Amino acid sequence: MRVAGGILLMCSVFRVLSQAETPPGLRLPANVVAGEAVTVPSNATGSATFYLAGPGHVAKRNVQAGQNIQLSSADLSIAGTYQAIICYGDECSITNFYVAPDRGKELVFLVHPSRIAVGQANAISAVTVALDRFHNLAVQPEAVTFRATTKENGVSSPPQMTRNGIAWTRLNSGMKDGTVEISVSLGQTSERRVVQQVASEPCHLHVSAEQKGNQVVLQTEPVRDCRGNAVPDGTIVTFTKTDKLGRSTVDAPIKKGVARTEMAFGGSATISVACGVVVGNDIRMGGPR
Amino acid sequence: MKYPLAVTLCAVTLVLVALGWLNSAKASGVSLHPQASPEESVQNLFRAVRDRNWPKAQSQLANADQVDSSAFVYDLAGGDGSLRTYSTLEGVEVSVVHQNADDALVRARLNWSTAVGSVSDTRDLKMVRQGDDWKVVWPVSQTSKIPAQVMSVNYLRWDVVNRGPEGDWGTASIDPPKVRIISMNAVERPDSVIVMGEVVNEDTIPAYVNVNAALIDSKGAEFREEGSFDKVSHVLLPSQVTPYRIDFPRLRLNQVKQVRMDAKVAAIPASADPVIGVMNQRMETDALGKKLLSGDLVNQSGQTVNIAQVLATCYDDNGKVIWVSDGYIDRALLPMTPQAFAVDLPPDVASHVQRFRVMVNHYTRSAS
Repeated sequence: MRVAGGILLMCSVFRVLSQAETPPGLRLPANVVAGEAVTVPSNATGSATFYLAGPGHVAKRNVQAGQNIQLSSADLSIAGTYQAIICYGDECSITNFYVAPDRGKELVFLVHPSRIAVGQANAISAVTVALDRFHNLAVQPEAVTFRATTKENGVSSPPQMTRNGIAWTRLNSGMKDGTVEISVSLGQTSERRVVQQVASEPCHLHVSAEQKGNQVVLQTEPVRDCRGNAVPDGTIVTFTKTDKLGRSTVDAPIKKGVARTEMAFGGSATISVACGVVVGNDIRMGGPR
Repeated sequence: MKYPLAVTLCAVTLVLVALGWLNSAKASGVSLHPQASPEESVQNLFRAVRDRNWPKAQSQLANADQVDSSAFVYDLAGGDGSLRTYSTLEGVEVSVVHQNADDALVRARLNWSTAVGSVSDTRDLKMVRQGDDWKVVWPVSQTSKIPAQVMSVNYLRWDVVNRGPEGDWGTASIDPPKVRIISMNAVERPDSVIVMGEVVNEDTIPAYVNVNAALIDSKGAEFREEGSFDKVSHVLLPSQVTPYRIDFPRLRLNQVKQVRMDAKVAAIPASADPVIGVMNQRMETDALGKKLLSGDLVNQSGQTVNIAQVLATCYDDNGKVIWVSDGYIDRALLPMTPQAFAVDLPPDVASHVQRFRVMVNHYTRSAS
């Protein structure tokens, strides 16, 4: 309601301005920073009305002769172009002024992706946006530092200046699976995100078969990628047995590093294993060799 | 005759009443005269089944003393939360395959109305003449039951923790799983255009997947859009591949200039169990001459799977997906107990199938 009222007032002020002669304007400080209280000399000789219209904020004050206009920290918390309007009866004058953002105090930190296969170059993107204490984009250059930390070690980037409030970097994923903590700091402020580094495609997938009565137990060796990282549990391994009865398949998830299943065994059969695009060894069981 | 008209009217009335009673008895399945044909006997049996009048149904059997009542009811009414328990027998189509003086073979196609649509079940029933009646020789259930045991399961499950709606902008959230459509093929069928292919989860977490296809005409405008609905496995575990199939009824392929595919993906809580093996997959021709892809499903966990759906992908000699077929299993999958399945293949497609892959979607009441 207050904002709507303010807009109506503004409209009437502009209407009056278009009809009336402009009185002398206000003298505002050249550099105003968001959240800074400001005192404006009014030069009012009688009673006047003062209006402040800014991005997301409108205020109205009655001003008496000789009284200064006090703009509080809350009045000027949002950075952007403001209009200070003073009206003496039907005559108004407008003064535009700019409220600049304060120094960076908070960081927004975007890291993508949240999961990445090991050994990928420039695969992790980290972007930070510096904001002042009122969440204005801190456009003046600020020095930020990115840091990546794993269980074993950590590396920091040299301080990097923000441009228009933004700084970014790209990182390679490591060679070992596990979490990597990526953080950014600005003075005493820091933000951190966690990226899960996971094994890439399996390497040397190998299955062994053991006959137990009329069943054959199929089990892979621990499924690892080419760098020795364990392929995550839950990854589907497909076992296939082809015999005179047809083709039998079981999609078994890796559990505790290995995939395992049992199938009925009724004579000569060929067994194979695959995981994603990787095909493992074949086993021939029973029948003539 | 003193009152000929009155006597005649009384006689006619009595005849009509008797006819009405006979017809109403017939309609309600009461046998007032010997069942003159095997078809009639089978119809009476399944009428009792539809009415869930199990004692009466069992009385129609030639080997009623050998058939376990509970097994008979389980066979026809289902159990363990299976799809059959959510089904109603809508109708039976009966035909005699062959008939002698004392025995016959009758083919009954049972049409069930189920929670997922209509399901047909064709059975060949042996019939024997007993006096003036024909009776059904019901196949005695040979289902082997596994011995009581404790099965240890390394239960593997993923949960998703989100920050909720109050999460600030710019804070870390879970990236949707990386899912890729690896193939797409649009084919024309007599009454529709079918878009089919495969999707793989290339991520390390389970994915919820829904595949949509939009058809673009020669002017570049999108004119039809459909989703894969239940012709896809919506939950994909890491490295798992699912077929998808999207039907566009009443459409010709020459009306389509381009197909725009879209896979909607989200991280989802999921379990890696139960594991269901698809055993003895083979192509065969059934008694009606239809081409089938059949086999057995084996639930390798200790938990009963209530409803299972088979999704079969058929490839040609170039490895291209040429058909995706699906079928619901109306029996529950009991632990370690094989359950037969069969899905239809169109004859023109079956002749080009070089390779196939079958996967199983499942629904478990306690887990979902």
